Amino acid sequence: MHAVNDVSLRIDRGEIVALLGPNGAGKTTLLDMILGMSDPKEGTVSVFGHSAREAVSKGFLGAVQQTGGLLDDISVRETVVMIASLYDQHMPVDEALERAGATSFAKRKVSKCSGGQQQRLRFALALLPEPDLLVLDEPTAGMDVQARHEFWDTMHAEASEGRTVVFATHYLQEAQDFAQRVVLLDHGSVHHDGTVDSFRAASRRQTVTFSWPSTTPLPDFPGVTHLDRRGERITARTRDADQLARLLLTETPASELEISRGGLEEAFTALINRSADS
Amino acid sequence: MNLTYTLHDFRRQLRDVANMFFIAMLPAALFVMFGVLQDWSSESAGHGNVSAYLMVSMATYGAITATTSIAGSATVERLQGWGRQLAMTPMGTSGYVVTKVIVALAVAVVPVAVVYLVGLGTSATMDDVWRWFATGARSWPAP
Repeated sequence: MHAVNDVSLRIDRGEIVALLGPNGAGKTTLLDMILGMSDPKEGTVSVFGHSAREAVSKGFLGAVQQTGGLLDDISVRETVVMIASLYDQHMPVDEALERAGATSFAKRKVSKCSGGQQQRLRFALALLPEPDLLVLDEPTAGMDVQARHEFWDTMHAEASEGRTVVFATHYLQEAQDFAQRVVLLDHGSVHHDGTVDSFRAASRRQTVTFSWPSTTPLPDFPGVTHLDRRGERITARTRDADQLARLLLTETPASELEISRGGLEEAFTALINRSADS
Repeated sequence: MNLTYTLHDFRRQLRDVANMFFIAMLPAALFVMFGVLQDWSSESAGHGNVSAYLMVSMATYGAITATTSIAGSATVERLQGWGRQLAMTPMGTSGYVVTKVIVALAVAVVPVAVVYLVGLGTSATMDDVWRWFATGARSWPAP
């Protein structure tokens, strides 16, 4: 069982990359390797020309991890002071709190903070070494809509300063709003890698459904990527629905034709379902 | 080893009231019960009285409780993912262990000091002043 298999990615400085994929696609495993928490059996991970662990100890990397990772019994500010003291060079504690939007609850005990506030604290910790690369593993998991919105506003500010950001997420909207590049992982390998627009274009498949006499065999339709037959009802996925519709209505016995346009969400769901089936 | 981190961790341990009760207050209370309020307290035992003997014993007991409890809490911390957070900093595993050992030894001073102060203020006597310091140092787990 390989959690991640044959993944080759080159991420340039200043890029904002979203790692998308269903549960168990290998997102966290991949990020762990970038953070030097686990080593690949084969192949290498290089971060700014250093090994992952070197990059971490030199403070090139900052990470916001999914859950845990905080001490309950100290205050937000104390947490930042403690972690800051471990770096040779770090941004002033109050500045990290300010930039992560954690100043207003800095005196609160970690155990009394909401999920969103704890995530801001983790973000403040990640900012401390003034990293060139920020790695976020589902940073908004468990946040409500408002908190998620505010979190990404803060991230926007950091990204505009030229930091490289790599984040894993379940939320397509986040990938779409925030990332310039989307890497879709499935079963541990890269399923799609490109700009948000190219991802959207690749997934802009349309679905044509129509009735077909059950006794007549189905011919091969040009441009159809996926064909599904349920009794008399046929579902076909295509990039060019107009062309297929024209063909179906003029030259074949097809009737009751419907065309639907799938969005990003639908493409993603289709991918997850396909993974679950196989 | 990092002073700021170690001091913060030390303060954290001191603020843990439940833990400090077992580390410092319980040995002190046991000392009062068995070493101060009993008839045998003033009887001679080696170079001090029975009260002093029990004072040393209870201080040792407190100091050992302190180090054991902090070793346990270090494991819990790591399980909670604090270790992952620290892994993102230049502090390595050895640094973490050294810090925890120092914190544990620092916390272990507390029960020794508390029990000895109670002993000094009540019935414990020793033949020489240096014996107080020597036994106190011996109750502490470090030497």
